[in-house]
Amino acid sequence: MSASHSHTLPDAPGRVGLPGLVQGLAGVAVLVGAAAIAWAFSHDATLAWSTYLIGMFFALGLGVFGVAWLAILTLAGSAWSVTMRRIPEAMTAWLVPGGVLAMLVTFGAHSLYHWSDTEAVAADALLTHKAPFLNMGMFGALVGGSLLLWVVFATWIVGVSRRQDRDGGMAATRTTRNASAIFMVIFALTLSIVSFYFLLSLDAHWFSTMFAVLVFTDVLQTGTAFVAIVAGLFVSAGVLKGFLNENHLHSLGKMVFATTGFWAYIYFCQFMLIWYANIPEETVYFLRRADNGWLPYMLLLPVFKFVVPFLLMLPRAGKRSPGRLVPVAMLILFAQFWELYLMVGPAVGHGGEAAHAHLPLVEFAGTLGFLGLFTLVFGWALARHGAVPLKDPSLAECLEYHS
Amino acid sequence: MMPISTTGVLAEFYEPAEALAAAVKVRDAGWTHFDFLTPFPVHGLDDAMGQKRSWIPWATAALALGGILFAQGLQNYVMVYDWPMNFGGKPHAAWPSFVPVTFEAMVFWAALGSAAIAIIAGKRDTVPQPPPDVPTGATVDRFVLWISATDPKWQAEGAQQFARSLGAGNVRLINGGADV
Repeated sequence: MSASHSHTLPDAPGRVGLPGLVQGLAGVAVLVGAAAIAWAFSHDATLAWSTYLIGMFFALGLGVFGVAWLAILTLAGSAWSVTMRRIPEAMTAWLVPGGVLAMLVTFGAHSLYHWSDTEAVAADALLTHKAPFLNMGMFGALVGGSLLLWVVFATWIVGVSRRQDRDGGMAATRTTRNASAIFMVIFALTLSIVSFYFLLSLDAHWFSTMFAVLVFTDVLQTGTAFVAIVAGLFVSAGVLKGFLNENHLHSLGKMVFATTGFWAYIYFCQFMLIWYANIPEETVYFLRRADNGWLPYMLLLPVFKFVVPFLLMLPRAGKRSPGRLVPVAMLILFAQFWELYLMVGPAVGHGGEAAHAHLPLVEFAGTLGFLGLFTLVFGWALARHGAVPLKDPSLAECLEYHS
Repeated sequence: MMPISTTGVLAEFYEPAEALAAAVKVRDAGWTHFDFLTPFPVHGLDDAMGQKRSWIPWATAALALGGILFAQGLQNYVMVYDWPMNFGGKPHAAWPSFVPVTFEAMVFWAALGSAAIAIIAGKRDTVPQPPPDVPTGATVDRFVLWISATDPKWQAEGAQQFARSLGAGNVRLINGGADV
């Protein structure tokens, strides 16, 4: 009796897209976001570009997470994730439109980045010192190059997966393994560069050795939360019945849980190193975010991003049951918006024009717009191919997976 | 020491799926002192055998809490009452500087304590195992059912017949460490 006899494959689900309701909601979100950004541009360019930057980076993080997650899962040899692999694959589809939208930030550089003003740089010794890195030419070259590398690796890894869908065999798995190993190195470097230019350089005088790894934890936490929402909705709707169940969701929930703990670890690391050394050019980051009404917003960040998700996901059912995991994952997405707001909001405007805390309604609408657009692109990419990689060599192990 | 039963029945299956199906039947027939010896972990076998969820996570949580209390107590006692010192003008009870030690003590207590409890409980609470000198195919390619004679339902003849009725091969009675 061979393994193929003892295991009958469930009926192949064919192609699965997002339900019409979700697509409709995403469409409404796009309209709301576009309206908010347009309104902001007619009132206050700084507010408009801050809103744009927050939403753009939120969605870009989800896009690059797709490639990074495929690479991590491949290198970890995680058989449990085979039947949900189409989700990160479809997330990478955002990298082309998302990359173009990211490069548009150059048009708003003067509203956002102090260092893009050559006169201000000439009058400032520290900015002059940093000018070889912080200038628009390097911004375009390094960020553009990074985004291009992400697209190249996404196309490569997803393309190989398509080839395996057609031809089967182990060759595709081996190629993916090599591509993933290379991408992990490239991802570490390029995500650092992209986070430095888009977010860290908002406070051009300030620096933090923890910043890139903090953005990395953000990308992982938010990305796994997004996958958990989609997979959770699939499980509760029974879309991939026989292929995806609570056991797979449990493992994914553990990843959301782990990245939530990891985020707290890294954010606290950044805070504690700065608090402990107590050097003025470092503490300015948190002093700025304690002044002008920002403190309550800052204190809510660890609540949204760590305390509540951690406690809700601590019980076993919190990671297994879609009804309990999906709302927590949605909270994590909101918390990511909150964190980006606290990275960008207090940083724009200087001296007497320092930004004051406000309820981020425009910013939130803008981020909803980007998330909506991301969801539409994601849904389109998801529905283009069979919902389960039926020829993956680890499929049998994945179907029997218990957690 | 792992409890050993010198008497019982060994029966072999050739596929994980057969072992899973058999486990459900053994459980439903009311046997309690039985186990499966397998060449690799079979997904879902613990559920099929009707094993309850482990209580060890609760011990882990208690140990983690103990580690937190220990580290907070030690640091507050030493840094605030016993030997207060001035570090960079910071308050004696500066909570951010206590966090790393608290975190590490929590992990240390929880991890080492859970590992120790898991080893002790695993040896104590397990079903009596077959004598170690009896060869089974479980180290190669067989999925072996073991029914211990300590089971309240035990009857040497009945247990063998039951194992055969599951479709198992090489059903044999073990008595005193050697095949009978």
